[in-house]
Amino acid sequence: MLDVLVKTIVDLWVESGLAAMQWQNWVMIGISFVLIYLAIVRGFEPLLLLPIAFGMFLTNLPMTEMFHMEFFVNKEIDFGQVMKNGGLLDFLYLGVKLGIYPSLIFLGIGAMTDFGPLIANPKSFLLGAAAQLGIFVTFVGAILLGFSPEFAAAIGIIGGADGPTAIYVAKSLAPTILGSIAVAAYSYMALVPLIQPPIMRVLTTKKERAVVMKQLRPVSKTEKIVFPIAVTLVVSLIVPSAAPLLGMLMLGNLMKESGVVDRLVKTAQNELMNIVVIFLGVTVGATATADYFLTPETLKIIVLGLIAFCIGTAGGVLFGKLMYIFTKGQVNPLIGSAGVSAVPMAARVSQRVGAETNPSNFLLMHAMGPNVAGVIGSAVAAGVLLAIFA
Amino acid sequence: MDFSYLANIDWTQTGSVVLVGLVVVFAALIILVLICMLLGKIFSSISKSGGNASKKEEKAPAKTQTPPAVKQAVAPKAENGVSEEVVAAITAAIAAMMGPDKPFVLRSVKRAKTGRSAWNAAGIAENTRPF
Repeated sequence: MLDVLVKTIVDLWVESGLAAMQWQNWVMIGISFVLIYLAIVRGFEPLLLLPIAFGMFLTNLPMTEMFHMEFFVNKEIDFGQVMKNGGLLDFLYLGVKLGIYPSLIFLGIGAMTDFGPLIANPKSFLLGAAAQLGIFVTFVGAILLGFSPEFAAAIGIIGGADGPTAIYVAKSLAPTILGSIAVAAYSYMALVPLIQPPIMRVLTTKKERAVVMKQLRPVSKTEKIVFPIAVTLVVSLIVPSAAPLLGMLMLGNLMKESGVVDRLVKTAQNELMNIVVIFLGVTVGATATADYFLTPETLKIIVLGLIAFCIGTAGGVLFGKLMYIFTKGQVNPLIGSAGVSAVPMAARVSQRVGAETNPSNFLLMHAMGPNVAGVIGSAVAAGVLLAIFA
Repeated sequence: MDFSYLANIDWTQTGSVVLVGLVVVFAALIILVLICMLLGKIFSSISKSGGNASKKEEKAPAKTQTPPAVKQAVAPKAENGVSEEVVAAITAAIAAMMGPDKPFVLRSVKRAKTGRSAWNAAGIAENTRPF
């Protein structure tokens, strides 16, 4: 009788997650708790960081069999294996692996973005391009730290300061470090107001920061409608691999600007976006299993991500200085830093730093131009990297 | 630390990725700059020619008609429930957007329709149910 009781208890213990817990699992669960704290108490990008952190928590609980990273490390997915042995998060992760979620998020972003400031001042596109410097410098840095070119490309894209784009590239080029890349990208995006201002102040003079820019011209509705179509046409023909991201971004924007599909726009902006954010967050978090996250590589990725952000900011500001010189002082270089996407946080930082020097200077709308150009720029850069390495 | 991998880095590939990447990003965005400028020119010339035509039409009768001061004195037609203060605020907002050098007359203020009637909503629900 006693034997049976003891055996039952032992069996229960062996079958339980507690017996299978290793120190790595505890560390990862601790990290996930820190991220949950940052999201809830500190408000770091909570919409994404909270699901990411909880996904990380779930995936590190042993025996739950919710997610199997090994199904997805190869270029080709064995769908039969996923169907037969996959857990809940394996199925949801297919949306990341097949590039569905990032594109759908871009649809929602497009439906929320006003490209008016960019159309009114098309030169802002150049600032959006210059701020992509961080991606390519970090690519070289990652190679110097011993990463393969594919991994280096995926790490570099953190400098695009665009979560969906980073995930879109990493899921193809470096699926095993997707979790680290996403955490680094979203953490630094939340830290943009801390990272950017010192760089902006160092690289500009007080006179440059005080420049008041001319008011933007009004943009007609027809221009706003033609713009998404023209951008999709041009970019998709030059870099076809950027088409899924940019095509959806511009579809969302066309729906918004056309004004005839209000219901679809509302869905893209709200319900669809929110649903996809939940799936994307929790599954991206799930890729951060102890085996792949607790490595020296993660630390390197976090450092490289910071470098990517700093160089991107510097690239934008320096190009802004160049434009300041060529336009004889009509462009405020501070709007260049907004070229690193991170909409609209980076534009707000430009506004804030500008207002420090001249409180009556309103740079926000001028900075929105490079800011949305940065989204297009990083999608193009992602397309180039995918075309070369995927 | 073992830095022997540094000797194996393919610098030609790395350099060409950086170069190609930056050139393509700049080229694509420069093309977009040009397209946007072209679109801006086309649309501003269309609106200018449209604006000139309407100005000419307006000028001729203006001489014979009553002076504009009388026109402005006419109160805009406002719906029930829209107070004079609201009309004044709307007028001020339009004036702020139009700028000081463009005179205008506010002729009527109507409340935008919100929501659908019950019959309308029922009809839409009926038609969209299969989706």
